[in-house]
Amino acid sequence: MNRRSFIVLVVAAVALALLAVLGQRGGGDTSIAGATAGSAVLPGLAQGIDEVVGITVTGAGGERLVTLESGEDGWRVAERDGYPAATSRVNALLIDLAEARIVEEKTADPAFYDRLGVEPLADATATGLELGIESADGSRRALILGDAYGNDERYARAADGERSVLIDRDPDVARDPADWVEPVIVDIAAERIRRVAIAHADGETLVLEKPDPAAANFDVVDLPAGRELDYAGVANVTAEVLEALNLDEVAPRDPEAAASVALAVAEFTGFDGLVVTVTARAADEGAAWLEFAAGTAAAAAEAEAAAVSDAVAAEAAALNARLGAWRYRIPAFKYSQLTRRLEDLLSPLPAAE
Amino acid sequence: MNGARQQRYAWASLAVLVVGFVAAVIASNTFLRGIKLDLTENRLYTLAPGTRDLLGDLSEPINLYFFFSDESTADIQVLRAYAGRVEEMLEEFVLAADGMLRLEVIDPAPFSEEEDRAAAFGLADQGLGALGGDSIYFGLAATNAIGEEAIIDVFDPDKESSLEYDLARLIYSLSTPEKSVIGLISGVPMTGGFDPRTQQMQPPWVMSQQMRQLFEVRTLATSLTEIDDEIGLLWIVHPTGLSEAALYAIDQYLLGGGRALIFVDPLAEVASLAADPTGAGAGASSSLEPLFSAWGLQFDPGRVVADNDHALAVNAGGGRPVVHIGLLGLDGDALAGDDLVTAGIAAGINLGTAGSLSLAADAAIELEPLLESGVDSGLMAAADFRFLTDPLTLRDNFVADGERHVLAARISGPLATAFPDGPPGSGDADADDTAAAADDAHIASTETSNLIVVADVDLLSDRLWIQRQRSILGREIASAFAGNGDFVANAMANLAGAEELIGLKSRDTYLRPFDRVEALQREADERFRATEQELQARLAEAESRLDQLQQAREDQGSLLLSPEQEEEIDRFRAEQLRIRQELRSVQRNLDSSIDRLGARLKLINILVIPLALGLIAVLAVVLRRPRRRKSGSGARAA
Repeated sequence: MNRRSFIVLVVAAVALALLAVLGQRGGGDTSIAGATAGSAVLPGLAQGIDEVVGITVTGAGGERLVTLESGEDGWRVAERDGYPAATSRVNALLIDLAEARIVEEKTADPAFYDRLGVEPLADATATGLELGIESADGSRRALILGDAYGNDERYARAADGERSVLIDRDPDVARDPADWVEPVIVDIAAERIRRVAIAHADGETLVLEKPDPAAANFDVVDLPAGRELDYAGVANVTAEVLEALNLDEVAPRDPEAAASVALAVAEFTGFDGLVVTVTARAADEGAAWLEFAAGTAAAAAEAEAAAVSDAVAAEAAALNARLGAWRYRIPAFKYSQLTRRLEDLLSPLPAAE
Repeated sequence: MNGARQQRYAWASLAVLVVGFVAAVIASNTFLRGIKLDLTENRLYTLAPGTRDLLGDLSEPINLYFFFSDESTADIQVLRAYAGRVEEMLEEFVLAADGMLRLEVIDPAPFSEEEDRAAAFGLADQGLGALGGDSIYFGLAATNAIGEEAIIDVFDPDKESSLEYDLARLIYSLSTPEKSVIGLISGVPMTGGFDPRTQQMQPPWVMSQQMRQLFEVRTLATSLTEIDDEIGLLWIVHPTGLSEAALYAIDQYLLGGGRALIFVDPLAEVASLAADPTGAGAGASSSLEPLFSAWGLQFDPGRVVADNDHALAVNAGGGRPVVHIGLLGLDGDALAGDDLVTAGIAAGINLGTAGSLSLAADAAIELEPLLESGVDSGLMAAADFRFLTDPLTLRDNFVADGERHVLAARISGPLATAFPDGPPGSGDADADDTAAAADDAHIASTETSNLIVVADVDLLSDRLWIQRQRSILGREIASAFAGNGDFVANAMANLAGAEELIGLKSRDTYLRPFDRVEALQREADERFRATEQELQARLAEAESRLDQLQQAREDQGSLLLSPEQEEEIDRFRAEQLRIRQELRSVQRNLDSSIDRLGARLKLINILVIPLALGLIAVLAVVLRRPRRRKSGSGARAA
């Protein structure tokens, strides 16, 4: 063995060792069609998620179903006159889209798009949805969401692409604009309420009061003689109406309706002086519309009057700013709780003999 | 010093060689994986051309998920070995698919997400209680580009020979979103159902199951009155009890350009008992009259083709197999070598009591034989084959006519209607508008046709081509021992226009017997039989001599043995001994011939490689010596 042969031997051994190492790292991926598997469905969205200013949902026949616009004060639903959108829902959708990954490549043959529900939305029989994402720089991306697959996967296709894919998400995209609005009108804890006064159009009034926040039940003021409450806490549910009160519908306030007589006015006064007034007005058809207004009253504890009043005043102002331009419909059972009459709370009289 | 340095180099080289060797092995495992030189006669370890074509033609991606419980099978070598084979074959598929196949190998550990995925696909835990306690998954799930899925529930090592075919069929079913629609009209319970004879549910025939994997098969009633436009091919099996309207519908369908694969039979054993539990044989034969006659095709449902050239041996209950001239194993030139349907079916096709097809003298159609009997064949009455206890008795009535009989044929050319007066029942006195309209739509003839008619229904039944056995995994598996399935699949694919299926060959049945040993055995058998016959003859002779002597003695009224009798008995015994010894020596010679052959083979196997290497080494030394001598003398000269 001479030096030259030895060097040749070493070089050969090193080359083989390199090959061996490369081979182990390479993993021998035998797939090429799967080159996109694992890659982002909407590349770049994760980095530019804060620059998204518009989201649109389009249905069959190219019909625009939902338009969400981002402004200084958050997301709004265009189909509901710009009412605030449910921010958590919008954010969840954007995060889902940003994190979505391709699981499998699917058909690129337009003849089979309908098998996955990713046919173009211009088609009147399309079953999918087209999701449009607009960014601040004017760029727009459109993703067609097709049929769901399994528990948490869905077929999709870039609207301007041929290849459909299976993605590892099933984004929650509602077709009804009503599902996108912020559902909570007000959320005032029942413990804060000291007094509820309901005045009906026919002049009947109902007043409920609680002496202090620790008291368990509301009492009916001016209970008629010989009558008693059906049960001790029967009046509580009315005081709880403003707790996580969700809307069914929302619309801009109608100035003409404001002039009409109210069906009922319910005034909720808190121990801290917050006053929320809910006015029910008749609708031409359907359930009554509710208008909300907030204000302040003298605080129960004089010593803390000034401090409480500032915070409460701010809260009232904020409520007015948010609710002042709108009218609402609420679930029927909530409406009936809001517009209780005295007789609803009393135990029935024994049948006359 | 030079010597010391050289020695250091030598030791260092040894170390480098070891490293290089290990690296070479690791690198070759990765880069040379799957590379092989397949020298088997039937190229068993290379993908079939049909499979390559199928994979090469894939136009949309298919995802394969191979689930194998690596940890749970750590001690089960046979499964692990087979899993390696399966994975290798899947990798070959991926390579041949040029990017359209994606493979993911998954080890579904118990209670893991991967196990959930396997379950979601429908793969079952094999629950091999005897082989292990942990869950074991060993299957394949595949998804195609339009959301369809298919699975191979478990890879059974006993089905290794059909692994490629099973995988190719799975890929085919996923790559063809719109399978050809086959309309099945059957007088036998091919698709399973309640058997009144056994009062039990019968499973579908393997033939039916296989066709359903390749095509969309719709069962049509024997009382049908029209055939849907979507039906691309009619599969007519044992057409008994077809209504007039049904026959008319078939007639018009074929005249309208439809294609058909028709199975009729002079004696369909699978049908005879099902149709008539009393065993009287009603419903056992079928024909497609009046259509056959209208076309000019002759088929006698009362006559069976008996073929001595291709007769199969069956177990008749006596222990020894006997030859049955009505059960035929067709191979070689009995199959049309130039027709796509039959070419390449190396395993042969088994038929049971088949009939004969021929053309009428004035037939306009063309008949191209696909399956034919041998020359040593003839027609026999179907009744001879009923209630057969000893198949050898068939030979009593067998007379070879020296002609080859057509057992299956491709029919093409002009067809005429079997209902020249129009739809059945249209000749009523008060013909109304609808009848008139039907008459207008009535097709009287066509110039072109493409049918395949097979004069045997039994070839579709499991017993002629399917063997069931229990596998190592405890499952009952069906494997083919004849090419009946290939024949029917090819015929259907050819008629339905799905020719790519024809290249997918089942390889279940490649047998590689030891020809030399069998030849030795046959030779010894013949010698043995000759000697045995000799013994029988001599024994009979000796016995008759004894009898004669006894007779003579009795005539004389004595009970004692005479000296002649005693001598005869001794001679007889000696003869008996001698012949028995001869028999034993024949058997011993056979055994020793086989042993000698075995020993010779072993010697060759053991010695050849070392000898060859040694020879090469010697040659290398010898060739180098002159060079060294030259360089040595050159140095000295310098």
